[in-house]
Amino acid sequence: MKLQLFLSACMLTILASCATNNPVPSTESDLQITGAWARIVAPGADMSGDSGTAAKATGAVYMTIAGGRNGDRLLEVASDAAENVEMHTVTSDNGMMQMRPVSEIQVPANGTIELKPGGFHVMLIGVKPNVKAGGTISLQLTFEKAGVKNVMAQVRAQ
Amino acid sequence: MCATAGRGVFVLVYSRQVSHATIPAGRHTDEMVEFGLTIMNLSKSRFIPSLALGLVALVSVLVSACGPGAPRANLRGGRIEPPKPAPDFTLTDYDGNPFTLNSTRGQVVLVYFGYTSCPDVCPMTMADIAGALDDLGPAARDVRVVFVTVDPERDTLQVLKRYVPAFNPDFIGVRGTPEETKAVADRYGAKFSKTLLPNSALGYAMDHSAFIYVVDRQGLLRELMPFGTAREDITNDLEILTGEGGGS
Repeated sequence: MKLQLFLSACMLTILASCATNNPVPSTESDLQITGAWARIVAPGADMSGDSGTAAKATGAVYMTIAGGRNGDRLLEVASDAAENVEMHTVTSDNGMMQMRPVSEIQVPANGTIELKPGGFHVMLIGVKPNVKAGGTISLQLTFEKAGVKNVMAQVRAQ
Repeated sequence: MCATAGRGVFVLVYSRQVSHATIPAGRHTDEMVEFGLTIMNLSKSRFIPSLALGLVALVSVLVSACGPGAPRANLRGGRIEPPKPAPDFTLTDYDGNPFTLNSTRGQVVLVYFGYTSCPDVCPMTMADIAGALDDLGPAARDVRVVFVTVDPERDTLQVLKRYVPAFNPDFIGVRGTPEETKAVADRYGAKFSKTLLPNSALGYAMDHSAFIYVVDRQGLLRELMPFGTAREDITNDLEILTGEGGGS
């Protein structure tokens, strides 16, 4: 009996940790992602001549996310197209354009958030040389409620 | 009357910018109005140091109808009145050769201060300029575009050579030492500063003002185009400026 209680407690603990650490994809989520595209300047360029401190190839990914009935939060973005993938925003302070990382992007209920030039974007740092203009890259977006969503983005060279 | 009309145009230009951004519209518009007013009212000094252009004459955004000199009238960017000589500078182009602004006299020149690790604001501006040149047709051969990096620490000549021509093979990318870069930026009133980003693989960002400085065929600084100036407005202004009689 004690053993059963102990095991039950263990199971509950495990289930609880699953629920908090890994967003469980909800079949009820009607979140929608459309119009994904990436701007990567000079993708696929040979960077072998660069020094260690030289700027890496960067890019930005844009899209429109509709939050559906309940809204959601974009918590993380991953992609094998770059060494690092981050969420950033751009704001203007007295005419100074400032780009900063953000820890999440809120997606409103019954509305959309647009990731677009001059605002929120997914930043690719250290774009892999196999990424080519005209091709597509694959991204995995982790939402609090909707779980992981796969997105394909068209690559533009400028 | 002219001034009022001019103010209206400035706000219009800036509200177009808002359509590109997710930043609250009111903030932008206010800034632009403030900027417009500041450059028209020199007693309000906050912006003056940043605009240390020697341009400290009357900078205004008057619309066309105010002047008889027809073509000038329809420029849509932030006009500088009266135009002042664009500060000359010499920096190194991505092929390793010295580039001197005054060597471009006779052509219309767009000067932009940015950095290549900026994936958003800078490429958007450069792409809009490249698009405007495509729209401009044959007159585009009389326009030079100069990208001055404000991040010479990371933007080596190799990096510039990869990045800048990606927008248009004729675009020029230049760099100097941090001191040289600062001196050039100061003369144009362009601002930049390094901000460490401990939570980003980028390491640091360069905050920077994002105007396009427009120099006419006679080497006069004619316009400051704010961030988000629409491609068709850039095309419009380049059509006017390349249509003006050239050179010295």
